[in-house]
Amino acid sequence: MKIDKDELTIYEVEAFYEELLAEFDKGDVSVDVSNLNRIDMSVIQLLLSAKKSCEESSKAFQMIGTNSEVRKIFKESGCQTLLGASDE
Amino acid sequence: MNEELELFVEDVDEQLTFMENALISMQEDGVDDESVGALFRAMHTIKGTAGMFGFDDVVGFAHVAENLLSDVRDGKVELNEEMIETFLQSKDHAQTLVDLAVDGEALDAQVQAKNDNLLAILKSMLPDAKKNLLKIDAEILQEQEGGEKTWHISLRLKPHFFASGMDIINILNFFNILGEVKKLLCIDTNIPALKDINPTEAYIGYEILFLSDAAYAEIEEIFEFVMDDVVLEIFEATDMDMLQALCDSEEGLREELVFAGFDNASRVRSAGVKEKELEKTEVKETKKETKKEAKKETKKSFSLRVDSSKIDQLINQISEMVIANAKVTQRADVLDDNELSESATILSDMLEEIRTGIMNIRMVQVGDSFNKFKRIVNDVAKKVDKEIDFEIVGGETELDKMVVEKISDPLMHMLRNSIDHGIETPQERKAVGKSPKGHVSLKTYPDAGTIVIEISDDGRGLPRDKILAKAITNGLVEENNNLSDKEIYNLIFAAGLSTAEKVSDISGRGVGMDVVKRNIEALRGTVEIDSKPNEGSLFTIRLPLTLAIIDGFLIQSGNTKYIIPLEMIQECIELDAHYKKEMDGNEFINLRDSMLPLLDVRSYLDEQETQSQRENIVVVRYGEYKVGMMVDELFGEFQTVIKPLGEVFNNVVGISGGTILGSGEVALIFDIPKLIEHKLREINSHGGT
Repeated sequence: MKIDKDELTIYEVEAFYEELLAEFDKGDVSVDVSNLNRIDMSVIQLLLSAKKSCEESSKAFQMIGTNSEVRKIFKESGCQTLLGASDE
Repeated sequence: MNEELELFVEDVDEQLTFMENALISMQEDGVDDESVGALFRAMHTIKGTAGMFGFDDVVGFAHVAENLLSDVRDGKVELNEEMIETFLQSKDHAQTLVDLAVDGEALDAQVQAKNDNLLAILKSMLPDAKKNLLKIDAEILQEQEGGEKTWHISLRLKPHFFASGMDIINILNFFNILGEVKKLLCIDTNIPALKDINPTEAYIGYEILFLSDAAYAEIEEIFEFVMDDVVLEIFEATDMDMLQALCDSEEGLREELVFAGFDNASRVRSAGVKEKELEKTEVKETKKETKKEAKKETKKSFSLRVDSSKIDQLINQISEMVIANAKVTQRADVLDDNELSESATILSDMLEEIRTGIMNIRMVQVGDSFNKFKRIVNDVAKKVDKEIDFEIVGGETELDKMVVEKISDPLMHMLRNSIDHGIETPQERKAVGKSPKGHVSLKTYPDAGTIVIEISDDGRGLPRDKILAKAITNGLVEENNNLSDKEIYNLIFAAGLSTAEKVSDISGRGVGMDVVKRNIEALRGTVEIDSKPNEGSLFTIRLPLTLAIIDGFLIQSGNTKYIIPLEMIQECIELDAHYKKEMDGNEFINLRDSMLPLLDVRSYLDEQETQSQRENIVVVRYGEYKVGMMVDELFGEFQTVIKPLGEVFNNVVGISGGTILGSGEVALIFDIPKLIEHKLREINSHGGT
């Protein structure tokens, strides 16, 4: 799935959740975040949950196209390693 | 502007006002520890909150100011006159910086110059040893040597955290300003599986190792805005008891900490090893927590910020309840049901209490807001080379906050006028035998349901002849008028009448007094002037106490019911044969040896004759004027909800609104000040016949 928004925060998180859940039900989860410049903790938390769920059900989880802005936020949130987003 | 930013702006406002008040009080009464503490806290809080929004200019500036203040507090530097002046400027400058930052604008050359200049001055005031150590960059607050400690901060977001509107990442970033984050461990253990998660709830937590010289309270302050939305533990990393308690509280936490490199964690026991020991720590922990809770509670009860529209809404609802209850009372009367009637009375008393309570929420002491005038007076006086002794009396008087805010500008204008025009220069004053220092006072007190604000000065008084001449030139009054002195003085409220020969940048542009009067009238208030040559002038502003519900007195005249605001009523007397004989066709009676003008409501409002046997006089008072209102029936006290009337009533002098009675009838509310004004004008126009 590709996120076409510039920012994803608590205001959009519920819609994003629906999409993510649908993606998860289909199989592997791959999120293209190349358009994304800003996210907040609610979204990071959701990504973490998705990653964990994928691991538990032996599905693949990946994020593609993390740009420097988002990477910075990941780093600041202390979730860089947890999300496996340290290197691009 | 989003909500957090609004809160920030409000908070800064408040802090800067605290700061200004503290500075001014020290200018007057000398330095005291409490005010210095207030100054320090103001700058400290501004720095802290601005940092959360990443307003670096504000943080940088506040930091230097805070630094100097901290030295003042510790007695390393003495707070002198010059320094107070600098801090006053700093306060203004901080406001500018915040405004710019909030608008997202960069500093222009002028502000930048002011910034550099003030920073240089502030830094020059620091004790010598510190100057070199101070850096005004992002790595601020690292300057103090030796005091660095490693703190362990354990943080869990409560489920509703996101509703606070604060982004935890911004809050975390703030640690980087205050010190160095050694370890940042995100605790994701509690995040549910994708199927079970509620995306709007927070599940995350953090363990942080943080190296800084900041004190406990400073670190705690990072979370100031989210205190209720997180579970927070802050302790020194060497405090093994706390660490043990922490590790015991969450399964697997110790292992995670060790894994993430929180070295001390490897020295505490795994969870559930020695039960007895454990109990002990638990007890300790609860003790600590209750202590903290208690502290938080007291802080909470100190002040609470509520959107004023919420209070307005409550007042509206209470108003509707008052009307509904009036219906119940009425019905109880019709049914002759004593029990119901009694209950309705109790309800009505309680409603009144609630109403007063709610009204009180909006009330603030005027002194808090009026104190800022001290500074303006000082500034203006300096500008025009006059010496002023300014006094605020009755600062503890309470007034609706909205009214206080709206009255502030008119008052400022009048004060400026008094200083610029009213008070003479020291030389002139000496020449007429007055003390060189002019006296201006701002006095507030409650009087008969109104709040009175008086501005008086001991200056030269208003130029009666000049005002009259100007008014005649402008065609405001005719040449052969027989206006009283008071009426002439009140002409200055007419538009376009400024008698100042020299237009200064303070006053004298002829726009002003008319605007002042309009602003005051918009608050349903009145303003009056009195003046004596060479003795000074007195401006009297009267403002209504309440805005939505009043205690009224229900009367009837003809077939219509009317309400008179209870506070303005002085007494009620029966208009008996004795008085009628005395009147003898005139509209006066002799009330205990003083003449009381009468206003016949029936004829004034074209009411029909009634069959009522008795006539009554309600004596009302507004300021120094009294009028007796001739009415038919008196019904007594009635809680009155003021409802606006339609446009049709705009031109009816003396009616300010309507209210709904229990029976569903409408009663009209008298505007007593207007009625009295009308009556007096009528008397005057008859030329005292």
